[in-house]
Order: sequence, then structure tokens, then C-alpha cells
Amino acid sequence: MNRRRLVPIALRIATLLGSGTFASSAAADDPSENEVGGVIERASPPGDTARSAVDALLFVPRSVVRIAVFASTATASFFEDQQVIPRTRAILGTEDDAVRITPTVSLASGLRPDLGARATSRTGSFASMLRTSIIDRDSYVVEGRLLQGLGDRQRTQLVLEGYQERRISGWSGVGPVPSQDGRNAFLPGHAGGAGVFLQARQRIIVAAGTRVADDYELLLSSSFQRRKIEDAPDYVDTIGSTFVPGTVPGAYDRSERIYTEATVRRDTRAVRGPPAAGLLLEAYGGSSVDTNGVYVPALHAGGRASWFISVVRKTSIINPRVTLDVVSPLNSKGLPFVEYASASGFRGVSGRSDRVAALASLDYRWQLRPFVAARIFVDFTTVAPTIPKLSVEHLAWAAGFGVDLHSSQTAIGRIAFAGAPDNVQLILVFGLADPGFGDRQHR
Amino acid sequence: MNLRRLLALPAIAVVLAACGRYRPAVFADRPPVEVVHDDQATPLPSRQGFDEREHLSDVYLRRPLFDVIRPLDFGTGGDVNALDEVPASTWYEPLLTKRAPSGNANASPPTFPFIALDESPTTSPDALVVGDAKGVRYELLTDPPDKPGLHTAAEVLGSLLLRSLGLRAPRAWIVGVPESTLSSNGAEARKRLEAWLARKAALVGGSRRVSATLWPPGIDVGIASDFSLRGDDPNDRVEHANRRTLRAMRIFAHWMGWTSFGVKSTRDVYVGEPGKGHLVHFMTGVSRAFGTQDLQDLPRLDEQAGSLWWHLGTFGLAPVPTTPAKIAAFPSLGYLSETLVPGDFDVSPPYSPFVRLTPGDEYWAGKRLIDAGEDAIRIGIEATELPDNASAHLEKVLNKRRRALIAHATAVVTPLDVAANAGRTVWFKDRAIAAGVAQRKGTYYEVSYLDQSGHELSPRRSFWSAGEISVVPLPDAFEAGPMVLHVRSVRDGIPAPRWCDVHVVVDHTSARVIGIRH
Repeated sequence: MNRRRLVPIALRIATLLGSGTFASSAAADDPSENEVGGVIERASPPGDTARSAVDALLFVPRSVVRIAVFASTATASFFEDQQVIPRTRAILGTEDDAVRITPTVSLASGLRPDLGARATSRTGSFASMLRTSIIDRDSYVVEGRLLQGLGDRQRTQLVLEGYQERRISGWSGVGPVPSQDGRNAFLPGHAGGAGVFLQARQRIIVAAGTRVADDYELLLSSSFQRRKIEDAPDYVDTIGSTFVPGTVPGAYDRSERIYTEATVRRDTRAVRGPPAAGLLLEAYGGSSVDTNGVYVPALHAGGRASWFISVVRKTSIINPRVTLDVVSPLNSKGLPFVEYASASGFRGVSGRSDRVAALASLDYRWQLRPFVAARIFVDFTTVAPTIPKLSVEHLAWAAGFGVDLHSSQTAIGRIAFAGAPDNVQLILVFGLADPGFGDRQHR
Repeated sequence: MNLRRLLALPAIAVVLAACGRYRPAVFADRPPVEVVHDDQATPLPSRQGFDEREHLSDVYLRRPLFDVIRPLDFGTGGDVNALDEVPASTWYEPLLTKRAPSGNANASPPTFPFIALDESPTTSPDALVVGDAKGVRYELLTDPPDKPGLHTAAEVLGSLLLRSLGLRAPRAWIVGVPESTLSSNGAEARKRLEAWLARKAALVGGSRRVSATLWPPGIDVGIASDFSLRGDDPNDRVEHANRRTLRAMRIFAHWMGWTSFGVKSTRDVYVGEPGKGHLVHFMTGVSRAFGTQDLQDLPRLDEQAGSLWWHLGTFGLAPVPTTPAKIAAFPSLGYLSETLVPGDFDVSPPYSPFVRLTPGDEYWAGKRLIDAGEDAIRIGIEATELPDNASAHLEKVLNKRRRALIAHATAVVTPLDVAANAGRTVWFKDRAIAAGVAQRKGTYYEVSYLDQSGHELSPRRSFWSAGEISVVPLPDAFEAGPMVLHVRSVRDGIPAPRWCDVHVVVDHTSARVIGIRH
């Protein structure tokens, strides 16, 4: 499956969660209009026939919106945001004992819909979540998370997560231009193509985070992950049919890996939802080990710097940022291809990965009204086998415009158009954490 | 579909729109519903959670998106009866408008001593929760030291005015609380009490001036959605966004300068023993009304001024405008202007019933303001124990604002109600003239006599207004059957923007009103 070829304009709608109480009926359809109002037939002003006809025609898009957006919103961010140690009430919500069972929907044109449900609950400083979604017979996700806040203002959080999925993905090789990179062994006629694979994995994460001062956070986390990768059934362009057999480490194999990471972060912004001036710095270091000794252990390191500068208004913010992720194998054994670094905050379709991934971006974000902000942005990304070999040649870029929705302390969602030389994306995301600051444990 | 057919579609739509004829509603021939029995025994519902992000997603994405792809207008509220009135229910108590707004006879001011409880307040984040000598729960709110009465008067006055409009609000009283009457129940409660006492507050005669709000008058089960039904309440059968009582709050909140009104201002309370009780619906947090949130000592840069489209078009780079200082006439009062622009009021984030306010809803709200009368304001202000000069000023301001809103509410429709019907005549009451916001002189009514399909049964006629009450005879040629009086007021040559439909069933000797829509 070549997504770029099959879907020149990719429509990606990822919506999560909703109260389940969204009602579609307008007043005119309210059954109580007859019950209380005594109206047998509603009044029909001139032009009502035409409007009723249009209304009928809009039934289909309305139903699509109802299904797609019914499930929206944000209790998910309770769990998705945890890389940032929560400022208690912003993350935990305002009321105790809330138990929610909510549908989840993720739609993308050219891809199969992802339907599921999520149950969340919270009592005091403890929260739990169970989520499941099914894409097709080969793809599903089951996930559970427990979160306990500790201490005054719950400045410390403990998290335990379990995750299992089967999912179909693509791999196009390492390097900024895989077809020209000698480390990739394409079969004749397949250079530059992507091999589709089916990955089954289970993962457990234990994490502890604390806000040591208003602007500083520390996070320690460790995960155990088991992967099994094989060619995706029913696809022609699989790893086996794209790459020379035996040249893609980790393919057709089962690997078990422990990844441990320490992260320190400084965020001087007064608020994290609305546009605000400040500085965001993050550095992390970690190591991963194959528990069976088949694949190479690796060191992981990286960092992000993001500067939020106000111009003219306090809420008009220019935001340059850079990120760097490095994976460094410790010996000559193969590194499973899914462990390579990629720029997770890139807002285009890149698909690039290597031992080093870099991203530079420039955003301008400004407030439209309370809780709503607009954004224009441009991203550049590249990958390389080593840091010195990072080059501005073969940069992938994407530029776009979007509108963000946010609460007083956290982002809620965004709608964005992202254009690149060979594709245009419409992204509608609600209830998901901003991927702009990566998440090594949840890759 | 080829281009020619595509281009034909708008033309067909235009033709359809032009060809349409007005068809009045058809009403069942039955007495109007006076009471909605939504007080049937139900299981105790779960406490309704509130998630700010979920709510913001709802109001800024889901609801507008859905509204955009629905071309039909927002209709009449689901809690409106055949006479275009709201019957009594657990949301609305019209009887209260006919007596002094004293509220629940069983409620009484708290009695000393008070014991602070380790509970979060509902009516204001700054309140202290206490139990009085009888074990009744109250929430105590204080004023800033230099502004005695600012919040406490708003809490008491607001709850009285809301009840005078037929809405439910918790009872509140002004109380002087000496520190010696306060103790705590446990370590956590002590922390809350100490924090509350540490806050500087206005004193009267050495005691803290406090508003004591009786809350909850049952079991508080959380916030009432501003859009959807409550899933665990079988009595809840009208989408909240379609409730006229909530839509009309846009007018009431404008009157009271309640700019912070929102979904958190409405709460459900279960009254009765679990399993035998039912929900009633309250407005809370009125201490933030009457401009108490709008005071500002100095001119201030207003980053939020301007519309969404203005900010989008200027990329957030337009100079920040300055709003002038907003200083109250008296220290005890918030910033509440004597003048207002009807319709120029909204809240952020949007409140869905406000978005759906129709002219009929506004007219109904105007009638509630008329019925509440100046007495409600006077009685309410007396209960606040404000200084005389501040009381007089506040009374004047509220009356002026009320009058402006009534004038607008009676101008967006044809403000006629049926006062009586005698023989084959219908007696109309012109609410605008009755309220003194329109003149008899220069007012006449155009009346079309329609059948239920909208066909004219008799030529249109005009009648000069006779004053508050005008009598419209039915055409002699029409013998019997249903008829719609399609009426529009014209004042000084300017017709009302909307017609009023009065549905009658006529026989040889009489006419019976079965429905009204404004």
C-alpha cells in the first residue's frame, strides 16, 4: 500500500471520546413539541419546502458528522498528556467519581475506520482507563492505564499501563532517500517502495513523574515490549516482496525489549493551553536492551528546545523549535527496524527514519477568542546515520494552517491543513496529546 | 452530473423557496398543558461529572458543526405549551411570580454556632461550607474589606430575582458572623476554616458580613447539561438546549449583568428519599452577577476585544484596544451600567440555549420581567442590607435595564396575548402598551383570517388599537371550524417583524382559543 499514491489528498480524522449524550435533534423535531405544545403539525414559513429539501439532502453528511464527531473529545487527554506532569485540576477534571464509557472513532480516507470504546473513571487522585478499538480482523488495540496522583496538589504521578495491538504499517527503509541509501537492499523494481507489515505487540509501561518546581518536571519510565512482525496478509507490497530477504532486522521475528528513560523538562510558560510566552527545554536519555540477546542494545538520547516569543500581543506567539532524537546501537548486531528514530512531531507525511532524526519548525500562533487559537506553521525534517551527516539536502517539509482548541491549561484538539510537495493533509484531532514533543515510550 | 444540471440545482431551490406559502401550525383541540409532571419518583441519579475540555470541544466543534449542516431554524422550545407559555415543572415555578419572592417557607436563616465542614463549595469557589446549629448545610461568602456587600448582596438579590422570574435558586440571607461562632470538624475542615478566616473580609459591627446560602436543598447530583438530556433521569424529556426557561436566561442574565453565566451555573438537586424523589433544577453562583466580575480600577488592554474573524484576518497583530476603567457608583456595587443594548449580550464559552434563543423566547422572557415587576427588585434589594444610597442606585439601574429589555422583547414579535374571548370575538392584550413601552396612538393590527393550510378565509382587515385591550371580531361569513388569526402589530407605520398566530375553534356563537405562537 503506497499511501501517497493511493491517497493524494489524505483526509485524516481522529476523534476520540465523547460524553455519549450528544443529541442531534433540533427543536422542530422535539417530540415534546406535540406533547407539551399541542402542535400536531409545525408551522411552515415560505421557503420551508426548499429548506426541508436541503435538510433532507444534508442527512448523509449530517450522519457522517454525527458518527465521526459523536465520539469526540477529551477525557482521553487525561491519559495522553501525562508526559507533562499534570497540574492537577487541569488534567483530572473538576468533579470526582466521574465514570464514562465513550465510543471512539478514527477515520482516514483510504484507510479502514477504527471503531472502539473507552471507559474512564476517577476517584479522588486515582484514575483508570480501559480502551479497545477494532480496525479489521488483522488490526485491533486493547489498552489499560492506571494513574495515581500523590502528594499535595498531586505533583507526583505514578502510571501503570498495559497495551496490546495488531496493526498494519509500512516501512520504506532507512535514510533521507531510502532508494539511494546503500543500507537498504531493495529487490529489483521496488527501490523507493514501502513494505507493508503486520505488527503484533504487547507493552507494559511503569512511569513516575514529579513536578519538582513550578517549571521543572522529572520523569522516569521503563517499558517491556514484545513485538512480532510479519508480512501483512492480503497486501502485495510487503516487506518480503520489497526488500531482499534477511536484510531487514526484526522482520519475521519476535523481539522482546526493555526501554528505560529519564527525562527532564523545563517549561516556563504560565499556561499550556492558550498561546503564551516562555521557554520549553527537554532532554532525555535512555537505553534499550533485547532480553533475548538477539538484537543490539542501544542508547537513546535527544532533546527539544522551543521558544515562545510574544509579538504585538501577549497572545500572539512566534515559536521556533528544534528537536533531535538519536539511537545509538552498542555493537554490530542488527537493530530492529522499528527501533530507529523518526521525527514524531513532523506534520506532513515523511515516513523517514534512521539513527538520527531532526526536526526544525516555526509556528506562529495567535488567539482568535477564548479557548480558540489559529496557527500557521512550517516544518522541516531529515534523518541521517550520524549527527555529522545531518544535511539540509533532501529535507522533507510541510507547511500549513490550523485552528487549535484548548482549555486553560491543556490543548484539546486541532484542525489543520498541512501541505507538502507531494501531498496535502487535513488533520482533525480531538482528545489526543500534541505529538509535537514526541513520546519514546508510546512509539 | 453535468454542469448544466449542477447549475440548475440552485435555480430549483430558489423557485421552491419563492413558491412556498405560509402554513400555520396545526394545534390539537385540547386544553393547554398547565403542569408538566416531571416530578415522578426516579432512582437517585449518579453525580454528573464535568470535564472542561469535553465541554469546550462540544460547544466549539460538535454543536456548531451540527448547526451549520442543518438549514432549518431553531424551533419553539420543547417546554412551551399551546398558549406559548411555559407550564410549571421542576425547571419553572410560575406560581412564584404571583407572590412575594420569599421562596421556600421551610427555609430559614442559619442559627449559630457554625461548624466548618471539609466539603467543596458549590455556589462560589471562595465560600466556606458550614453546618449550623440545626445541622443544616450553608455556604458562607464574604466581601472584600473595602467593598462590603459586593458579593453577598449579589448572592441574596440574585437568588430573589431569579425566583421572582419563576426560576429556582437557593435561598440566601445576609448574616453577621462573629469569629467566635465558628469552629471546625476535623483537621481538613480546620485547614479550610483557617484559610477562609485568613482572607480579609468586610466587617459590620465587628462581625464578618456574610451571605449564607442554603445549599443544597436535597442531594446535589451535579451540573445540568446546557445541551442534552440527562441520561439517568426518566423525567428529563426536553433537550436542554430546547428549553425556553434556559434560553430566556440570556435575557435575565443580561438584565442582571451575569457575564460569567454558563453551564456551571445550573445544577440538579435530587429532592426526597432516594428512590422516591426526583430532580429539580437550580441556578447557582449568582454572586458573580450584577457586574461584580466586571470591575476594573484602571483602563486595561483587552486582548480579546474583536470578533473571531477580526482576529483571524489581522493575524493577531492588530494593536490591542484599551477598555476604560469600570468603577462602580458605590463601593458596595459591581459595575452595572444603567444603559444596555438589547441583544448585545453573550457569554464565553457559548451557552447552547442562548444560541437558540428565538424571538418567541425573548418575548416570553420579557413577560416574565413585566410580571416580576418593580416590587421584586425593591424587595430583593431590601434583603441585601446595602446602604440606602447604594440601594437606591441599584434599584434605579435594574429598573432601567429591565425596561429596556422589555421594550426590545415586545418589539421583536407582535406582542399580543389573548385576554378573553366573548361570543365570536377575541380580546387581545397588547403587552407592549400594557407595560408602557408602546403607545396606543399610532398602533393598529393587521389581521388575516386563515384556514389551517394558510388560505385566506376572509379578506385581511385592520383594527386600530383600543389601548391595552383590543377586540377583534371574527368574520360573519365564516360559520364554524378551526381558524387562524394571523395578526401583526403596526406602530407609527412600522410593522412588527413577526406575526402572531392565534388558533381558534369557531362555532356559531363562540370562539375557543386552542393555540398561540409568536
